[in-house]
Amino acid sequence: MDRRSRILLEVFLCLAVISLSLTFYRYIILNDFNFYVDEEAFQEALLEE
Amino acid sequence: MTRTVQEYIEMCQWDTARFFIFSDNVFAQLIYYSHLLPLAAILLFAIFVFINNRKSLPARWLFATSILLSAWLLSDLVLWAHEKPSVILFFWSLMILAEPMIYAGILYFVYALVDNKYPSSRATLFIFLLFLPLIALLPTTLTLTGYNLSNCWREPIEGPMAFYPYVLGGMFTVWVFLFGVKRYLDKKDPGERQKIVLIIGATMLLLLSFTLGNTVGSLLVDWSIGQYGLFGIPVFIALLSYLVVRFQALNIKLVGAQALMATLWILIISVLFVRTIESIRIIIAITGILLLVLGIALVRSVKREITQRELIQKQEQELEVVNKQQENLLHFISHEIKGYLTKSEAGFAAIAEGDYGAIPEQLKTMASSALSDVRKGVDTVMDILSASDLKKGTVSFKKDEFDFRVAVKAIIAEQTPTAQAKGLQLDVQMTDGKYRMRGDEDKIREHVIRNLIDNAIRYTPTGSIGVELSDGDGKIHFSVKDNGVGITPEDMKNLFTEGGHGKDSIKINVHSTGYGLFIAKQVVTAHGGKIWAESEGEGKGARFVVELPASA
Repeated sequence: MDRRSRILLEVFLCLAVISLSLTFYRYIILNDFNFYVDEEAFQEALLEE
Repeated sequence: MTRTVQEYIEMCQWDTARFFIFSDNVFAQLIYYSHLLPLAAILLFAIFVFINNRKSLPARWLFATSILLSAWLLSDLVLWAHEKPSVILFFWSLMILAEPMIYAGILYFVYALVDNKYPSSRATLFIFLLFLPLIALLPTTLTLTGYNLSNCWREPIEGPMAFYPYVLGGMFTVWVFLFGVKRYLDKKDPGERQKIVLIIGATMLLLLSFTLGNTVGSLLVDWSIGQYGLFGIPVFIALLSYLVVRFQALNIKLVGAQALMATLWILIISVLFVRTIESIRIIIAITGILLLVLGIALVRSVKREITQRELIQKQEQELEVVNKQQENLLHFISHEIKGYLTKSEAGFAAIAEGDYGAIPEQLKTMASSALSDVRKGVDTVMDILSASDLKKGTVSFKKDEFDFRVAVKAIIAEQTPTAQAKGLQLDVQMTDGKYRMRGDEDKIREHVIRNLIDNAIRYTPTGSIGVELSDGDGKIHFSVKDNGVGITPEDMKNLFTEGGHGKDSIKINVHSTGYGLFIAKQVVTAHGGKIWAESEGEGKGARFVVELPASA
């Protein structure tokens, strides 16, 4: 593998790890996400259960 | 009324996941089977191939891709089992990133297996740029906009970026296919073409198995059907492992047998965890298919091996006969030549010594020179004959008691003029001790002591030669050290073998037969002793050491 490709792959891996870490931080640590509930559908589902 | 996420989870009565992957939320045990079996099998195959072939480029990429596939399978299992939206959202994101990476890994793997190199740096840059938007937007709402709790589903809502991996996956699949077609058309050799068809075929089937779970599940809204696709992954990984070992000359039998045993073990053990008869039927059916596929491959491999072994044994026997015939012929020719040379030697000696009366000075010089050459010829033939006799085991050794030190002194006295003529200093160190030993004095003198000192003189252009003699532990220690051309590690391996020349020894000694040290070793060994050489490398001199048992 030439030097340029190696650097690109290394940078790619670093960025992927950073991106995943931020995702982990957002969802697992901060619990930061929107949630949607169609209350009617939800109640129906509960009744079916 | 506004409820919290936790309250919704409690109302839906989702089971709490144990170790992330075990819970009653998983609708069928088939899910465990379709995930954990491929996961374990993939890792085993990839590790086997990687450990056995660490320097192989395809093996490395297969290993890297297998790790990603395993991460994907594990994440998918977490999605089935876990109840917490935050955990599901993270693992869903992980899968979104891992999926196109698996496709890219397979692309690199195919390049490595077909061309034994990576795609160009321009192609790598292109792939890098393709991934950048996904990496940058993965933690944002453009990838996963939120989480849907309606209907008690545990499902993230995908944003536009979540569909981008499908685009990338499709692109990489087409890339692999076009690459295969191009290489197929480039190659003219049928063997090479077959190799490409096998590689691309197995790769396409692997990608198909991988995407089957997603595409069929999405299209039919029946995720259980899609699970069967995952079973194909280890089969095609095994096929690719087979191709790696086939085209990278690794021991396929070993890997095949290990992989088969490991897979069967996993399959059999997994039955223990299955409760319903329906699931057991599925498992046994899959086990049967795997056993059939891998078993046939293994049996064919063993059959081929047995045929090859039989062929080798037959060739070995034939070679032995031919070798023996050649040895006899060599022995015969050497004997004949020795006879002629001995007659010539006697003739030239008689002329040089004036047995036929006074001869002109010019003729005398010529006769002396011819005598010297003939003697060298006799020595060479004698070396070859001795080696041949030693190999055949037709040499008998005397068992007389003699003084090794006296033998060394005699040879030194004989060789000193030659060393001086070459401008070499001969340093001799002998300690008082017990140097009597039992054996064949003539052969020890000729083939061991003289041979080593003579070699040292020949292979030392300038400097000195040290001869040491000492005793201890009931042994005679004799060594000859020089600061000559030295011995390279490669030459060291062949030093005491039959005809084992050093790489450049012939440049220094054109008369070298390569039998001298072989004979020396045979003689020393026959006397219960040891001989070895030491050298720090080319141009750094050498030391030859002999240890022989002294008389009690």
